[in-house]
Amino acid sequence: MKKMRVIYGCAVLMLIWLLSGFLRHSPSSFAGSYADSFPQPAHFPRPVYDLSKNQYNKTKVALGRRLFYDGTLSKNGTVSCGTCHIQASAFSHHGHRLSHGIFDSLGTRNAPALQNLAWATSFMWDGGVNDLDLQPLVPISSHVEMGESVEAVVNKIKQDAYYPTYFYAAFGNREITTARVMQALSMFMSTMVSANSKYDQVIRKEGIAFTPEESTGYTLFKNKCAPCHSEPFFTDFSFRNNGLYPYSQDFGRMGVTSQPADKYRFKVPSLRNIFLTAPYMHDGRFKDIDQVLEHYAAGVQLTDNIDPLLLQSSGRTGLPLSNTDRSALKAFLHTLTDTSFTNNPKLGEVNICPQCIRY
Amino acid sequence: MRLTTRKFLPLLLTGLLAGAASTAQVLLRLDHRVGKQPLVLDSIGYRMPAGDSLTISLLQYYISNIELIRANGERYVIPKKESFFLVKEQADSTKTIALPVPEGTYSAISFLVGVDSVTSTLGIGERKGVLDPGRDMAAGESMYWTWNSGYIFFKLEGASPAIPADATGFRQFEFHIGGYGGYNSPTINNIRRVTVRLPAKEPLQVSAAKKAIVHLQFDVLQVLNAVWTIDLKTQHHIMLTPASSRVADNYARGFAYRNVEYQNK
Repeated sequence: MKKMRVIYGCAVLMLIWLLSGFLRHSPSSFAGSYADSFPQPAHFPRPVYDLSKNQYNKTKVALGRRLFYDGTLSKNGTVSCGTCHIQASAFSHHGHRLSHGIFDSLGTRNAPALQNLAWATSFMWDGGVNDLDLQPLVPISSHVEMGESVEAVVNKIKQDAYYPTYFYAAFGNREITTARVMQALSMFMSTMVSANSKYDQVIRKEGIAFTPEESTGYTLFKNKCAPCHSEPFFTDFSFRNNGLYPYSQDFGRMGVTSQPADKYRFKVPSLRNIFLTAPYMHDGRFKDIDQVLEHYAAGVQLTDNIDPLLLQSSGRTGLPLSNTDRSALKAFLHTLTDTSFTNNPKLGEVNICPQCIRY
Repeated sequence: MRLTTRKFLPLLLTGLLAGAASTAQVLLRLDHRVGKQPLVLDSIGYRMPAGDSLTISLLQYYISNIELIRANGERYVIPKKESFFLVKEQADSTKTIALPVPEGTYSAISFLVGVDSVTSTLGIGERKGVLDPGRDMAAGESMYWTWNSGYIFFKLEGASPAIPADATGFRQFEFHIGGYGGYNSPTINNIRRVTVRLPAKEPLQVSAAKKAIVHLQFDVLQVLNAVWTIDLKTQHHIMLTPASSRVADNYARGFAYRNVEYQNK
């Protein structure tokens, strides 16, 4: 009798295990709990990214997420997009001035944070890419990042045991092309929306307020920083020379436009999640915010095309910042940290072991 | 009344037929040369005007937005979707371009070397075939710049003893020319339209009865000196710099008419 009960108990447990397995691997679970429509924050404008050319669908998001975390996109399987774009640091490469790519190669610029990409008007520090759908081509084919040809990536994915099924789920048939790989990646990346920091909650009047020091910092910020780091993205997406000492021959935007007026101009980065994305600047030269503030207060160099906003009427460069100003600014910048973004389970690394995602 | 109809009907029919003139296939055949000699990749037998020897290892370019022009100036524009070709010296079939053309007589052929700016900014879903930006990367034959979104219009690579040795001891040159004018701020525009005129006495006759093969030649030496002199000693790697526009001016002059060949069907 007791034996029977044990067997019965085991059978029930087995059934539960099987059922849970089925649920875990069913098509609906592949689409996961992603939002049914594009996650548009109420206080953001409509996206710049053209969703009419790549219509939102959550299966595409799920596919893009797998691709984002899949080393197959690199030459030898070791580097994924997620290698240098880590969620905990707002998809930047925290602590790495320059990122290590394939075969331990070192890049030439700091891996930027990935957030609110659907509103970005250009990509890369020099704006060399104008469409999110074309952006992943850069790291995949770069010899110092993933070192793989896009053709080979497409072929590897075609030959994979499972991907064709995911493409079927996402696009309606099993065809795998450059365009579809890019569109799945950009669909996932467009869901990397950071719009729930303390700042956002204050702006949306959700019942919390800035502390007095944060308020002081916000006022200072609006006067001194917002002309370039404008709300709500904390960048105006323009290219400017902020007076960094030119240690290298990296001329920034001029490398794209060949216009001397673009020498030393780089993309104004967003300040959202700024406390999670050190080091700072295109070459990662500043290890913390204090060094950044010190640069703006006292380190701005009068190089070609220096931004006029960094020239004072006295002829001096930079923005005067007292120690109290710096503390207040930092207090405000802390309110841009969005842990619901950096902890969002829908954006996290996925286990790409095929058995785990079969359905 | 009845008579009029009888007279009018055939006229009307002919008119309709003429309006829907049937199209015939015209083949454009590109013959690549180095001066007077046919181009053979990796051959060491060529000389530049200054006397130095020259080897060509890669030649490929886009031909697009093709138009055929009648003697009265009227243009027949090949439908855009059928008007993009990637010509590669190393792939013989790509040197023959098949075009559907309405029957008639034409005195010139015009095309872009490169990809027009509208096509250069299309959504990725519309970039298929020769316009797939992921194409040919593995073989080192990619015609797309990922880091500065845009097509490479023209690639010419080779070597010459005139070129100073690089760190690895090679004396090579690479011209990769692109630049469609910029997406939201102006950049170099190296799109060039080439018009090749046929001799007035020998216009192109397009008819369904015969297959016309138009032979065009492209002379690699013109890339070095058609309009501007490019000195390989100092200018051996030209990509997206102002010098690229001089290379584009030069290669646009490199195309010339040779002859039309008609084959009975």
